[in-house]
Amino acid sequence: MSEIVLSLNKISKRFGRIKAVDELSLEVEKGNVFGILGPNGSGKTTTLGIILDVINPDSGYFQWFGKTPTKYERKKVGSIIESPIFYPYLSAVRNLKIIADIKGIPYNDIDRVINIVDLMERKNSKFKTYSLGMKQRLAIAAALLGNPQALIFDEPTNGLDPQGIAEIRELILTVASEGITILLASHLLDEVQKTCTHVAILEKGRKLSSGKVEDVLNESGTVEISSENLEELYVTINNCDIVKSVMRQGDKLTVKLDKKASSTDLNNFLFKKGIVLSHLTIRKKTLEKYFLEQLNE
Amino acid sequence: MINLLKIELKKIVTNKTFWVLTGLYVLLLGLVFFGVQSVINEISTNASKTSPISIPKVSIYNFPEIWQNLTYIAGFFKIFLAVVVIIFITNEFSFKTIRQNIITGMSRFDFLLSKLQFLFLLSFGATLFIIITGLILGFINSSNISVTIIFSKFVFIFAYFLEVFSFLTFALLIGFLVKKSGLAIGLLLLYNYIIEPIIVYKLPDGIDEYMPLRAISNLIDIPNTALMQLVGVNFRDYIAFTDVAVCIGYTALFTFLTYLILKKRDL
Repeated sequence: MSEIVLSLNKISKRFGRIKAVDELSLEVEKGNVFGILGPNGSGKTTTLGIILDVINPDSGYFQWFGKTPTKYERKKVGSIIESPIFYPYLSAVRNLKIIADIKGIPYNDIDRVINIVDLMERKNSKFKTYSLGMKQRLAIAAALLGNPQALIFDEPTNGLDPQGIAEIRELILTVASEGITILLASHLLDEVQKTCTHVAILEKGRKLSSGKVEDVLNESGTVEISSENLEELYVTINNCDIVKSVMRQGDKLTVKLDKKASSTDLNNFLFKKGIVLSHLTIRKKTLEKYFLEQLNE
Repeated sequence: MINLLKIELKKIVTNKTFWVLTGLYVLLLGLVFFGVQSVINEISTNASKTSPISIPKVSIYNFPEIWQNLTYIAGFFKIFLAVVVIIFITNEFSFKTIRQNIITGMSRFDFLLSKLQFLFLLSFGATLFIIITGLILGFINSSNISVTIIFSKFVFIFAYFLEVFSFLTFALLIGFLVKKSGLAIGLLLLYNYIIEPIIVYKLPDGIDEYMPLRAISNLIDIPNTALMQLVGVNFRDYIAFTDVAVCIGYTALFTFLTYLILKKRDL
């Protein structure tokens, strides 16, 4: 039995007439890199706010480490929510000391985390003099302070340049490899695919689906193909049992495959029938397309 | 408890605004304390010239009356400390650091407790300042010095501490309620100088003194000087138990309301 780090049970939250979170239930197991995926306004940040006790849910309950949460459970969680938040008039070290005091961690851990994010040279500068990238890195240092058992990232790569984005993703993977449970909210399908093991998809506060990333965001499902003789291809492929549906789009066919089948299986099948493809691409799903699909089903 | 105080001190110690404002407070009140005697002397000499009867010399620095005199005067300046409190509370909202503190692992009650410790420290500092200046001025100006006399009216010092602390819990409540520094300071000044005085004016005698800020200021009455007695008015030269009880009651109420706001609100 794997250990449940975080569970949400029918959490709901309204802001006036808007349902920000609607009967949301989730379970995050130890060691998961759990992505919460959804467009802006789908309730991701509200959900994180609720599990970190800064937003009071209207109904439902949640548990950290199998317990009704108190401040002691939060001390074991490192979080980066929205933009980096620190006292602007204090230096990085003083800000981290405050966090260490709150969490009950000795100060000697501060240099370690400052080193991880490479801010040693500027550690005594006031927070307000930092660039956005440095602020983001300090936020990560703060989250890593005291070796937390779980980490929460909310849109961690927002506003960063490509190098910064790569660094953060690298860091998430490194931390995850140490067995720390990670909860990551993002509106980028690509980001979730590259970093997460599990995912829940949110829309207007409701959970559309959840599970392992490869199951939920199965991208090998749709391929685009074409050949010299499109008519022949069309007829042949309609008799193939791993194909679910075929759609003509200009000089190409968009083919939806059976869940278990891959593009290689399709190519093999056609090759045996004597058809050589002039074009074969795997259709990468974008979040928009994913949502359209989910809503159509 | 100690840990919360440590956290609170870290937020203050290197803050320029805090030191500028408290420095100004100390400077201003110090000037008033040292200068008020000459103003009173001026007035009484001028009055003696026209008055048919001789006006007695009044010294406000004599032990033990000095404690009531200084604490009464200082009462007018506590609004300054209330502004400091409001700035620091609303900063936590505008920087969103209150949210971060909770996320990091403080409970909402801890946060309130840390702020109450800040208020306590500020009130304690203000009280200490009066004790020190009082002792200096008293030793210089009193002819009659003995330990019993010096401390015989020391109860005013305790009353002053309560007065400042109660007033600051009111500022705390406004800070949590309004969240924006300018608005909160405006509201504090408006209520203190206009709204409550109007209500007090409209209310019948006997009830009006239970209005919160009036009750807090009432703790220390106008000092009875020989001059006052000459005119025929007589003020309270002691601390009334009911006033203390009312003051503590309001402090508890303000703190409780602040806690309710903090608990119910999304941060």
